[in-house]
Amino acid sequence: MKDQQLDFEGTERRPLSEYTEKAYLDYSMYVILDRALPALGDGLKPVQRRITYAMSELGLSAASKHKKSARTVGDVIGKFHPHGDALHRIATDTLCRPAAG
Amino acid sequence: MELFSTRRAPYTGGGIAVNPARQRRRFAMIRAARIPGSTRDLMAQSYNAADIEVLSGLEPVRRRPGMYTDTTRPNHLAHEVIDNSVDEALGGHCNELAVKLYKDESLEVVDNGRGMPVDIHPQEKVSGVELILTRLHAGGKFSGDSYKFSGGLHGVGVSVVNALSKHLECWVRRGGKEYNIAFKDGRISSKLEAIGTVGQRNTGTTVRFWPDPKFFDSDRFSVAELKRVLKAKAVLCAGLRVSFENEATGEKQEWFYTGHLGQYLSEQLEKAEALPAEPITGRHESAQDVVEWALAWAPDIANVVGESYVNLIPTTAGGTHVNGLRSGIVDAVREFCEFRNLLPRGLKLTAEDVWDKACFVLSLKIRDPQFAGQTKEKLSSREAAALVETHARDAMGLWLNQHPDAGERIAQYAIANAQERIKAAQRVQRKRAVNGPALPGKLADCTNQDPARSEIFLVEGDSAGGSAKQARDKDFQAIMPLRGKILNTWELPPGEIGSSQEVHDISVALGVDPGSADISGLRYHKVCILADADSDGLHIATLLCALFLRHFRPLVTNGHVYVAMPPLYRIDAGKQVLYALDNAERDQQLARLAAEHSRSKPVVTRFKGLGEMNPSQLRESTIDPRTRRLVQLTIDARDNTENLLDMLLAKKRAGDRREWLESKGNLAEI
Repeated sequence: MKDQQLDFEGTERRPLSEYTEKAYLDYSMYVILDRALPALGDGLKPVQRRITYAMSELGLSAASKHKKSARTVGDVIGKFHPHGDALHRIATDTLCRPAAG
Repeated sequence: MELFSTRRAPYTGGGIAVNPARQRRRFAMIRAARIPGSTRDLMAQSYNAADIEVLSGLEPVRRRPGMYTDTTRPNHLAHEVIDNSVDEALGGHCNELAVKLYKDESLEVVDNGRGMPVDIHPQEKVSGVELILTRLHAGGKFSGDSYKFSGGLHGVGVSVVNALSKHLECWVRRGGKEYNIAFKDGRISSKLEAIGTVGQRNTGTTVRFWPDPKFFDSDRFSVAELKRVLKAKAVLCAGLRVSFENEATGEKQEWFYTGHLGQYLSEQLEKAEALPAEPITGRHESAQDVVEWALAWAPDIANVVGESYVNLIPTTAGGTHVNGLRSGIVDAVREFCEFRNLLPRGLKLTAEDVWDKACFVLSLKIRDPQFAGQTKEKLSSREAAALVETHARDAMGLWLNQHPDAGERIAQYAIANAQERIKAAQRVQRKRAVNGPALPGKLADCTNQDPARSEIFLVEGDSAGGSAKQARDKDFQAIMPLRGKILNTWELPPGEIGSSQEVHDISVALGVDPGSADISGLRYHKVCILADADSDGLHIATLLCALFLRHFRPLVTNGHVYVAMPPLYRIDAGKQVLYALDNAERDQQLARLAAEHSRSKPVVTRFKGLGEMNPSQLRESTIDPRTRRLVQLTIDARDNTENLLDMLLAKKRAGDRREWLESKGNLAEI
């Protein structure tokens, strides 16, 4: 009784199962639709497309001079892909391999 | 209390009904299109524009009554009609409201307001009264001019009553004439016609309806509930004479209050001894809002009276207005104690000390109230907290200083509570950092030692953790930042989860060993998950839920696990910054901004991460108990939680997950 009275906020209650199912469903669908699978159109995953696009915006092509990866990293993180830089370096790395996964 | 919910927010956009199986199919087609090499050839199945049904008129209500009203009994319909009349009273056009329940379970509501409009609507080419009764989302409440404060904002209102009644008759007295219009099963059966003359000053509306039993679990009105609602309306609407007559029992009752909430509160407290004997009341009115409250302490009462209303609609779960009242009163009492040097050395009054057994009635009238929670019984308008708080603090401070004797008694009462609390806390002293294993370095602990008052926030990301540290109230809120995603511990034995640094730190910070049934060492009674409102945040929340359920189950069963809901959107309009927790709230805010000033265009940005907010914004939106939204997670032996989480997180159940995604993927909101 004391405990209940202490709860002045009138906090909402929700079953854990319901909350978790919804959270995990949203996460899974996001990953499936927007992260993990390459698009049919160009064979790129969203993060790869963002990197490629950012590089083309910076005028970096196969023919141009070598540039530090940090320049692209900064652009991609700031403009298109709001996640950490480590992830981005890994993605760039994967993109450079002959058979990207 | 009863469900007023549907009046405030229609659950869906209405209109379009799509068969769920069909949606699944459509989703499957999207999958097929997106996944190269898919062998599914679903294109052959037809799904054309012709397959989409659009329901028109009142059909959606009749098809899915549960989305618009409470279908356990027809009471909610009565509320709709009564609220319509009360809205007239709120506008000052009506001072009498008579409700009569007939033997045939039909209900008649008579008011002496202006009468529903009978002239022809310029665009719709039908009379106003017909429009009100037959169209969803029709009403005079949107523009903000016809009605100053209105409970039902969405105007689904009384047309729902018509849709769910086998017969409805409406009489309007207006401009010296009496008109009648009748409906059967939501369709017009007798056109609007003048049936007689009345005095020029005799105006008003009478609605009598026969609810259709096929839509309701029970076709009988709950008389007790009706009476309670009518009484509340009379209490809150000063000068409105409300009467109720039950034809079956011959019972008659009338309520009439002259606008004194204190009188009502005394009545509610009955014989319990109240401090002060005459409740303290306050009232504040401006063009934008009206706050009215009455307050008294009743130390011996078993059931504390705490009623709050927004625009005459009960908010049973409280909300920002109640929080505002509480902090205003608490501040005033604290100030009073300080001013008079009443506090013993070293003693601090907490909100609980002051607010214990405080009985109150609070009525707030504001424009465009926002409600939260699944049942929409909680006010979430943030400005309400500040509004009520400022006013309550001033009024209470004034009262205390004008009645120093009673004020000192109140202060003594609060001090006694505080001393008792401290004594109790000494008995269960929280394990100090020095006796246990060293607390994790990342944990920013709170200063007070009482677990019952302490909260810990498990925050996603170091940067958000930093802001949260600045945003918290150091006294009772601890912050523990988590870096990246935590280990999936669902299938690990309790002994092994310590191998993950993050999980180990959580366990140490909480003061509970994994897998242990003993939670007496729990250092915080509120464990709040605070993750970004994006997909990765949801993932982290899922993993934490799994951790708690599997290895710290007693925390969940005892209701110690909470999820903090960060806002999804930020709306910048000129210098104003607003937050919206979800799409519905965003649209509401935008609509309001559009109505307020059209010059600066509001810009909506999506909050990607908590780290983007600066500490003051974070405090206001997610951490400060007065304005945040916290959801307690519960489990029930019957709801199959174990099995569900196993399906979501076990390594071997990928097949089940695939099936789950195929059947429910369309419900995801990204």
